[in-house]
Amino acid sequence: MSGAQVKVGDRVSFLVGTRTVVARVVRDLGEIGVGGRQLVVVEVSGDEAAGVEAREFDMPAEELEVIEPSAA
Amino acid sequence: MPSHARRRWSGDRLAALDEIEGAHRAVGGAGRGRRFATQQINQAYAVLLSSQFQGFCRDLHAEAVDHLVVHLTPPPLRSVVREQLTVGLKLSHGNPNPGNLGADFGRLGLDLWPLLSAASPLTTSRQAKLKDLNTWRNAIAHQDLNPVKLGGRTELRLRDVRTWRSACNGLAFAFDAVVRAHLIALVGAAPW
Repeated sequence: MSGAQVKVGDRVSFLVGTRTVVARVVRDLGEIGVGGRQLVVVEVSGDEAAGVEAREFDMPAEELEVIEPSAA
Repeated sequence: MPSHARRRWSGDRLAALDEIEGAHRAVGGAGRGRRFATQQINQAYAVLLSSQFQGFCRDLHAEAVDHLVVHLTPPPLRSVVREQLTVGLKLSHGNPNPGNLGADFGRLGLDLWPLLSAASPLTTSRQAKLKDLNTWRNAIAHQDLNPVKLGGRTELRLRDVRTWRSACNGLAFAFDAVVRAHLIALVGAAPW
């Protein structure tokens, strides 16, 4: 866990269950989670060849590891 | 204490709407020119109101899910459930109309509108106003001001938007209370 604020555009990894997922932060929901923690929306890319669509869902920033910061 | 979502609604979100009220007051002149300018402001006001209310509802949903999943054990289950509760939300891309709100909060096991109706006799009227707001919002956004769909007129009055704003404000307070009670019933602890 990074514990730091993450930004829109950051590439992040995190666990969903026991699976490591790589995603892009697409929206900052702000510090509205439990105890005022930051929540963000992440987008997991789809795989056209496999017929898998991209999907977006919420995650707490403290559970994300930034693997490539936003260029902005 | 209210949710973060409701505090943001009562703070930044209403402040943004007040700025539009200020713009309306600031339009000078008289006659047709002023009428055209205020009509544009009224339309912008309605779109902004719908957008800010959508933001409030989206915030409240995210906040509620965070409070719900933090109680789950074992911890690896939390991200699995969070994904299922928040993936493909109608509020992420659609209007905050009663159907979308009922569908998204229904994923938390909440019968939103029946509970709101039981909590307040004003709910039916507020729900109708929310529908009207979103009908106008769509007409403005798509520049399809069809009087057949808009109660026989195409001109939006400031008092219409103020009425919708009051309804949204009442719903924001009621949503906050109903979601809070639901989370207490589910996890046995007050979320806010």
